[in-house]
Amino acid sequence: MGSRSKVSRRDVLKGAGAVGGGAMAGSLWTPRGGLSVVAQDAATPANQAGKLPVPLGEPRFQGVALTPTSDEFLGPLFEWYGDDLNAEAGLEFNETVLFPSYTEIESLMPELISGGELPYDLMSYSSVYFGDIVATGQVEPLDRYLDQYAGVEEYLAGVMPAYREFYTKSRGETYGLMCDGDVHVFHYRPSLFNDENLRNRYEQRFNTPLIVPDTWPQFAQTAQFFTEELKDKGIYGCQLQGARPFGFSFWLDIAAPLGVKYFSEDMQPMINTPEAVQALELMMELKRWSPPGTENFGGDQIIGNWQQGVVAMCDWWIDLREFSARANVPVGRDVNDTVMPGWEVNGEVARRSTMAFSRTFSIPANKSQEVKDAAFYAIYRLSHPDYSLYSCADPYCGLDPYMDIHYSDQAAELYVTGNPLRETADAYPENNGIFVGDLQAAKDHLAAGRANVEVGFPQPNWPGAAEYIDTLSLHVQRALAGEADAKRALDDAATEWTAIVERRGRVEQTEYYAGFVTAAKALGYW
Amino acid sequence: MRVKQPLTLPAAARVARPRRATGLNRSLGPRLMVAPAVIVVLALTLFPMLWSLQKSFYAWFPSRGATSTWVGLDNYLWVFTSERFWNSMGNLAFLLFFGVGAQMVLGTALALALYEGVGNARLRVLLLTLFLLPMMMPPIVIGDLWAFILTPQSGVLNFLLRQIGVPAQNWTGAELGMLSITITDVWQWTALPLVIAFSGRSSLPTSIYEAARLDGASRWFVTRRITLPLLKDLLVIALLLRLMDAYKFFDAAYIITRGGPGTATELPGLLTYLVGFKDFDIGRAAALTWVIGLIAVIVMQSLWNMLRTRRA
Repeated sequence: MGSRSKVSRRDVLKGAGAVGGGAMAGSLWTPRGGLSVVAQDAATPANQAGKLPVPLGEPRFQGVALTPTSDEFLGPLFEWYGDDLNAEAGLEFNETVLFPSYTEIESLMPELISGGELPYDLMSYSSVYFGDIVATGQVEPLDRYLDQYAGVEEYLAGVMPAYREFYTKSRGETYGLMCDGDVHVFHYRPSLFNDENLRNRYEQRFNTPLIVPDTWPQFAQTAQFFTEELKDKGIYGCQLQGARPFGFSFWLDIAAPLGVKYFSEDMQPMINTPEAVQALELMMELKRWSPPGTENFGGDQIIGNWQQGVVAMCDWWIDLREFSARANVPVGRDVNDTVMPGWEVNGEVARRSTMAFSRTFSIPANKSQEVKDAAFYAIYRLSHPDYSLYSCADPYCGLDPYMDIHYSDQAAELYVTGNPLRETADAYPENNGIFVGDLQAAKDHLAAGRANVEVGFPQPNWPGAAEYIDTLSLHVQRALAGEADAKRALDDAATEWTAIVERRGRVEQTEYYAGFVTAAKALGYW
Repeated sequence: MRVKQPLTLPAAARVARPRRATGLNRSLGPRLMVAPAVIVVLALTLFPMLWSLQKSFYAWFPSRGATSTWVGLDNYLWVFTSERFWNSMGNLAFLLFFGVGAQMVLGTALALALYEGVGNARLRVLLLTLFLLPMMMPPIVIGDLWAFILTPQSGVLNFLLRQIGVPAQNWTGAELGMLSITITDVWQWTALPLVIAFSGRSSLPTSIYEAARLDGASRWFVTRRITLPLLKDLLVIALLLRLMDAYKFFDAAYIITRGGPGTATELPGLLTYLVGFKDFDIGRAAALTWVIGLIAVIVMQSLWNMLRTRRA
């Protein structure tokens, strides 16, 4: 029997029974006082419009047992919140069907395309596969479900626009709800930037003070400095994740602010423009200031090196700081995160942070209406801040912020306390919060996340995304490994991208990409 | 003239004599008995093979639905003109030549050393068991273990090298990546030729060795002229087994380098996996499978013929 945190699940649920709109507005929301923020009130405008309240507050789905499927890092959600959702709406969950992370295409796709009765009722998967999964035609459009519930407009408005438009919508229609928002964040070790001796030496050498780099050329110079000064002590200026399939995203952090796009509107690859080559050449220079083998580093090596204090600066996913804060590792809390460096253009710094990976919830189309209604309620509630605020702040759940409120100061408070909606168990034995006793660190961390997601750049989201990504990453890695120069590597990638377009059908690919461009234009990317 | 009386059997023997099956029964009975096994084999091997052969002539992305487009030999053309495919075959050739070669030499040498050099039977069994351990470990464990050893920054190997003043090496980089993968395979699979050679050596008659000793033959002479020729057939079997297994090498390489950096350690099996299960391009993956399979058949058959001709 696991132990409970001081605030019990029931205490938290006392405040339940309302729409989340207030939560997103932040007006009545208290981090430990209740799930929903606005007390359930039949007189709320939403209810007057005849919409279903959220939480439902009635066992509407009693007798429906849902089987979820997700990758291994999302698994506990349904264990943690199953009782609460049962209390809200009578929902029950069977054991989650787990698959290894990033194997969606081989784990889910065969089931989806078979067109038969699927062995799961709701699914969470990497947003990389959103386009492919929707294109099977086996995923339920969600707009009419959303229309049934009160507070949905506030919920949708609260989802950071790039996640909402690129990872949950296809050709204007909603097929998914966000479940995990990923974005790259720039991490550095403040102790090195504050070291008096290093500051003096940097100033003597470059005639400028040692500051946290604001542009990529500054980043390269600072990385070189740290490597040359500290390599004997086993510290390098930076590190790069070269491993496929996400190596491309670290190149994109440097290339996108230079205006590099995936394709032109008539589907000609734009990944080998002079700016794209310039970005890759800079990345190749950064390799010189990184630990040996960086061209083949995956997540394990990046996290390991960072935790061991081997690296001074690192561009990586938002949770790198969290991994260090909650572990007893040499780098300890000598970690700050901030907005990604960029390129100075017309006196301003243009920045982009790639929103690589992420996760989306969807429900299969070929289920009974009763099951689909229940499944929608489940994914909507789990995506809603009533639950997701707690999930994002919980170290035993691989979910990261994707809503405006997830980056707020109120959300930060959940990072220094336990998750009151779950108990402890063998698989998640602690419940103390990630930044125990350091609220300011939590606030800074979320502020960095928000700053980066505001300049977030989406990964490809149309059918074939994984193939485009892997091909681009392969050639970026070839350049890093010295198999090709930057121009040749990106030319090769562009040639292969053209072949992929032709092979998958130029007309269809152009049509899907037009949807991407429309959203990109609406959000100011184009 | 004596008339030959027909031989009559006792009644009991006549009863016991089995009835001769009619022509139809004689052919149908055994066939019916093996039919379930044949049907299973056909369903599980022949049908998927034919299915994949058919798919290799189509462009088919299942994420776009059941529709596939006839592309003739395009998928095969892509395979044969793909730099990536030939690069992977080159990496495979490296693994087969140096990896399997080292396993054969080391395995045989260790087997003979163990048999002839270790007198204590218990110690011999203990050492043999230790040598066999890597072969019994799951590939994922081997991959994780060697990734831990080879990681350039914090790996065990570089730590040891630094202790003796040798600079750290980028074991998973483009230059040494394939060598590292090969070393991993050698570490795991040297035990197979070892155990085959050891059992072969154990079964050789001692009289030959006594005769050689009486004739004053040196140890090296005995090994070269007696032991190895007598073990040759078994070693050929071991070689073929290892070649066939190494040909589909995938798991440890996938864990340690994922084929990278770039394509430096990409092997045909991994390439097929990526095309089939990451790009979900079933037509090309099927064509790759067939080409890789046919090359394997040709290589193995040629090797077998060569060895048979030599023996003849």
